[in-house]
Amino acid sequence: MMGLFKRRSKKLEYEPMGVKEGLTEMKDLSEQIIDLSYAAILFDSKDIGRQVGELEEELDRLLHIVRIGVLLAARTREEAEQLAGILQVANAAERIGNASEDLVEILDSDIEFRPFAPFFLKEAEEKIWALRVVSDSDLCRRNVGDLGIEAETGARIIAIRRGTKWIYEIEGDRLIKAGDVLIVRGVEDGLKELKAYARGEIGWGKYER
Amino acid sequence: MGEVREMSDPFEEIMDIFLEMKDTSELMVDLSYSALLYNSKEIAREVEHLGDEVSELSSRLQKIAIEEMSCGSSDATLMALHLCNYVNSIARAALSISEVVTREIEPHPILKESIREGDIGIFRREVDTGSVLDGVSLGAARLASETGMWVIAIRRGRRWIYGPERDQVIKGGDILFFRGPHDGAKKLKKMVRNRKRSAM
Repeated sequence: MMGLFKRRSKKLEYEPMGVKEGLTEMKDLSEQIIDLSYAAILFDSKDIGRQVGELEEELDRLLHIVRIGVLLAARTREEAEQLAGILQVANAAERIGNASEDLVEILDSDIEFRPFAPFFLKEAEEKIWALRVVSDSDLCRRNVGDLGIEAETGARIIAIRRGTKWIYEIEGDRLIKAGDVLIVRGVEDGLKELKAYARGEIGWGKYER
Repeated sequence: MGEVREMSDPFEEIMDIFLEMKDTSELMVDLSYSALLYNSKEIAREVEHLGDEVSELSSRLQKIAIEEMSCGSSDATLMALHLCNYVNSIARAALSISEVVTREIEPHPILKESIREGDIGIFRREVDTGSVLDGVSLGAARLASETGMWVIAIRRGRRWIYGPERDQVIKGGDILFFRGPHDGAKKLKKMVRNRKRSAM
């Protein structure tokens, strides 16, 4: 069955451009937005909450692109059934975005949620910490990709606070600077390790002098 | 969890349930994407099973929030219900993804490709007997902190271990399903190999 699909697809170019890319981005965003919304609540930060809103809009936009691409692609009933699955997954990713946006709305409401905040910090398998980078840390002036922070410590940077600015796009070429506050998610062991690096208490393996 | 504990503070009890729900719902999201990637109905069914667990926890949380907290502070009750609602939505989204796998029709190949190309990947590797991971607990192997990889499931023969705990011992022959960054995956893939055997 799949063979037939593939042959047909070459001839008719049924594989819509942009659907795969759109889906990949939606999957990544859906995971990022879960972390960000949680960090927003944890740190009582409307700034992070706003970024959640922006990611949600981006998910909406991507969902629209995926929908159009999928609708243009269906030629047979069989194809339509498979393509419906794509729409379902894309919709689910967008629903994760909606849920995350709903979660951070608590920041703008009258509901007093702060007594809960300390409880967020405990027990969950993965935790979210805020770490300040000192000037003699090996992390300074190096980029996230070269350091391989996540592969070394298991801690993923969700956002960086630089002065009054927030940085949410943490790509491999993102430079870390002295004074940055890293919002990171990971297991406690890894977070402790990263904290020691950020404070300059230990040198980063491959840069050790 | 699940053991009976003396808890005087409904706050604390609610947060315990919430955190368990949150971990479970996020495991559901990971597993549902894995089910798609490997077109595995077994994993998809586990997502459904975890979905039932989340519903159960959710009812418990709501009950406590309404019965024990509402007389004290309506804000606390609202917040608890808000959190509960959030986790339920995430769980339902994961269920919806896994549904695509349990249908008769095979998922569209584009789904598999789009998951493979994400920043955070999902991978699967068999653990060689005699490798550094053979006989070591997940906690002791410190996989999450050493490689950034999170083991979401272990397949042992016909058995599955979903969302393994830190004290879960890895054995040769286990198939690990893990998620994380691509460079961390490379490290883990080395760890599952028995160097002596591959040198032969």
